[in-house]
Amino acid sequence: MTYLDCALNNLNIGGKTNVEDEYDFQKSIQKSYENPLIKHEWNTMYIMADFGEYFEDTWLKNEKVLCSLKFNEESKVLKVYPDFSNTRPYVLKIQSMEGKVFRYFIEHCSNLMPESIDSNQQTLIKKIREHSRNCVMNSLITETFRLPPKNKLFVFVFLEISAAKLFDYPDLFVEYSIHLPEGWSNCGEEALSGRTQLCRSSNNGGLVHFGHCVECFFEYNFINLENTEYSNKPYIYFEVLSKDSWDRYRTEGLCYTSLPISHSGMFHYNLKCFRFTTENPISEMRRFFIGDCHNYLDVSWVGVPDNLKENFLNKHDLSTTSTGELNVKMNIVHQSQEFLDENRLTGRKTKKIIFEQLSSSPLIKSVEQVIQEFKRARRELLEARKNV
Amino acid sequence: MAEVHIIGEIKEAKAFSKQELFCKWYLHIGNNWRVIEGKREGDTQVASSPFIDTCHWSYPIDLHLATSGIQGWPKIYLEVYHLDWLGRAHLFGYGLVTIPTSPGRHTLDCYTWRPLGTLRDRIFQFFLGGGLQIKYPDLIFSPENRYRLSTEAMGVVTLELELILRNFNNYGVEY
Repeated sequence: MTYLDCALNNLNIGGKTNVEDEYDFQKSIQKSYENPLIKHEWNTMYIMADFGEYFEDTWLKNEKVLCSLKFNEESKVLKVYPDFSNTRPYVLKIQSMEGKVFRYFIEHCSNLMPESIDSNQQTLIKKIREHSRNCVMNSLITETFRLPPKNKLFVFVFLEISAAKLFDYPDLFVEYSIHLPEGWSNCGEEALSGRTQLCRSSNNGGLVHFGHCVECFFEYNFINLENTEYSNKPYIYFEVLSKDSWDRYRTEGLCYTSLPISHSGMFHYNLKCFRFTTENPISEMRRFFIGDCHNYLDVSWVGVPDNLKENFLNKHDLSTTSTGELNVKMNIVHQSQEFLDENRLTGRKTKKIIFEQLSSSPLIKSVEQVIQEFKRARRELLEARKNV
Repeated sequence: MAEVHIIGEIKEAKAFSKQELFCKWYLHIGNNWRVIEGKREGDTQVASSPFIDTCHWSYPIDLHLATSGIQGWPKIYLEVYHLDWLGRAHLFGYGLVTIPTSPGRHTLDCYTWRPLGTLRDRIFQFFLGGGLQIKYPDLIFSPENRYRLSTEAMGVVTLELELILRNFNNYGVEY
């Protein structure tokens, strides 16, 4: 059997995954317990020389082994001992023949496989292996990759609220809410607001661990993207709250950030929090004895309020206390058919700000859309007629 | 169909109150993801150090995933246990960390926590060991139901991962 045949036999063509062939540590160790002796079946061939002589018409044998060839069927290993030697001969002295010394060489004389055939075989096997791998992959994943509709941008946000530190009370939790501006819609299964678990700080520096992972999925229609819409980014607001042993809730800190949707990648945030205070002692006593939770009307006030109508944002005459820090991590991934065409044209990835890529030619896009709509309507009309 | 390779290690545990820690890990993926090669769960060895208060595991992770969508991006779920001198394993923390979405080398910190019981539970836990465990760990994966838990901060597990993404460009994904 040639090397090619063996390699072809070893390949598993047709996308079957042979479970028994998969390496399993437990099975392997079990096997080695059952068969503690390693079995090697070698077929052996000796090349010998006979240095005998006649003693009154009978031949007295005096055989010497020149070379031994051993072949293992399972592992396909051929052992030649002693090794091939072209330059220095092996020396054989025979006791009965004084003064005679034999020198011999062991040469490899069989025809070698030409290099071109060998490399051809290798590439062929590589191709077949690649193909069978693709078959396996295709059988594993039957669905096609979901593409967004034209003129839509998919934004995937993987939010992780990691930790908080330096707050007054030890038992903390975080409430978050995402505010989407116009043109954005939430397509994911998860709600845009939520709450982490309650966590008590450990001894080292009052660090509170949340490890809260949220996966959000937004859709944005960029057909009417114009310069004015740049500022309309989604914002996320965090509120850190504490709960003490008597179930008194207190607002410990507020912070916000805009979702970094203009770039894809990984982002770390170390958000500084503050909370509202008032000058009169009654509210401080109220906070201490009863607790104050949600002592504000609109959470978006900490950033830019949603319903801001004046030309300037006035935050004068309101006292706050700065409190601790909140660590947040975000991973952003974009998906749009716009990148598809661009990648095909240039063939390489260029990082640009997302809006630059999207707003390349809104007019052409809208014309394209109209034509497509027209085609679709016409097709439907034809089909309707056929039925009549 | 796009592919993701995750190659790296669960490096160390730090800021835990005790040594002799080991960790069970599990890769949480969405429905449209498949593991092609590699193991998606495992246990590390028990590690301790007499000199520093970090436990080094250097447990290798090598996974090859295929996907038909971005949703359900892989997350690594960890359970850290402490093995005491009687051979009992005590829960020392749950943790969940999202695998980054950009290719390259990343050092991830997984912040772990464990359930915190009532005062009575804590007294029992102090003298007898053990402690509360989550009956259905699915609770950890769903952000909606997390608020029911009352927990206590434990240590930090560091992971070092290298990511290779393939064929995502064919589907208009910008990472």
